[in-house]
Amino acid sequence: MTESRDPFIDQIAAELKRPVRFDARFDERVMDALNAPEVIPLHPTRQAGRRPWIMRPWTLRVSPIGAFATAAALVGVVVFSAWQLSAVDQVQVATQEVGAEGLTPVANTGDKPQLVTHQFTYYQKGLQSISLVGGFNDWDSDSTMMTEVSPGVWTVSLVLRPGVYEYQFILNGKQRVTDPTMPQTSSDFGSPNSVVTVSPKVPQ
Amino acid sequence: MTQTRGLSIQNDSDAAIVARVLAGDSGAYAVIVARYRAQYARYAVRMLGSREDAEEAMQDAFVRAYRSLAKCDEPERFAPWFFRILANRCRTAGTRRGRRERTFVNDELALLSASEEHPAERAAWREELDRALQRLDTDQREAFLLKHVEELGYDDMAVITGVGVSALKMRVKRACERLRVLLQEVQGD
Repeated sequence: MTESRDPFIDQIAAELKRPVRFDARFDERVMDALNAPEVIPLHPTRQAGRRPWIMRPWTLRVSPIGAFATAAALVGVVVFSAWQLSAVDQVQVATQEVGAEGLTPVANTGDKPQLVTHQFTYYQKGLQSISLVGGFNDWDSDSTMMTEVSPGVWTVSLVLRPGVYEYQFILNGKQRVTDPTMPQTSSDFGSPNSVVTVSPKVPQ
Repeated sequence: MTQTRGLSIQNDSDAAIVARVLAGDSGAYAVIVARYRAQYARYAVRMLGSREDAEEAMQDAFVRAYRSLAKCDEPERFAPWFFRILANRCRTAGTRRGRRERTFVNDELALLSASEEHPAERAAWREELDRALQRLDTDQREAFLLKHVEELGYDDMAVITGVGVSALKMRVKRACERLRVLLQEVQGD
């Protein structure tokens, strides 16, 4: 189809076509942003070949006598640590008894990011497999397989940081479906995604 | 030139780079970033009206694309797949921004070439043009930029926006009419 040219619009377009520049460190910032893990799978099944070397499992070969020596050393460390902790507790109790008014409860989380276990469930009989894909596993259909815990009931649990995650189920390795029990959102790729909000644990 | 482990921007196909990233070489993604940052920065800036907003939207698009790379069924057609993500990010950012007044003039002035014949006049015209562009509805601005600046066909535009061809033609037509009205006074000077 031919379209008539409009000199005025052509002039505008030519002006808008001039190149723009981004900050010189833009590429570096993007690459840094990629390295922000959001999930720690409870039972990772991802193939080792697709992971960075630092995340691949190690295989150690230990002789029987070496194993015995290692076990003895570990037992020693555990016993020593238990004795040390016991001593610290006694000191804290003693301190509280002496000056309880000025004390505050000891925080037990520190600066570690809080992680929450979330169980995903899908109900359908007659399936061979279901995998869970989402922003938490880079939409990798091989990394998070669900288990049929009873006929037609498929589950998998993930340890996630609190946040909002989009996800889908893949039935029998082919069909992408959303979670009928959760809200949906339109995705960048045409098909809708389910959305789950993982809330932080409420302190007891 | 951006290079990573023997990959070069000029020589490697998108499909080859995507395959390396999916195989665990995340550093190869730097080639993708360099390639499409250069190609689509203009669209993001024109769509959002400021370099900062454009960088934010584009970074978001790159991160989303990286985390969804396994869903890219045709890695040899990474460009339109990524452009679709970017267009969505720009649309979302534009909606979030609402009708807040944009102050992008300084950004644009910083991009002017020092060798232009009448820099002051040129800068004034660009300022008016950018202002007029930002006064268009988001849908019209998007359609106009895709058609007349990125020079896409209506079929490709329909894939990227998820909007029908006839509706896109109407948006482009209205965008042109609106720009003509907004820029009439400037053009008459």
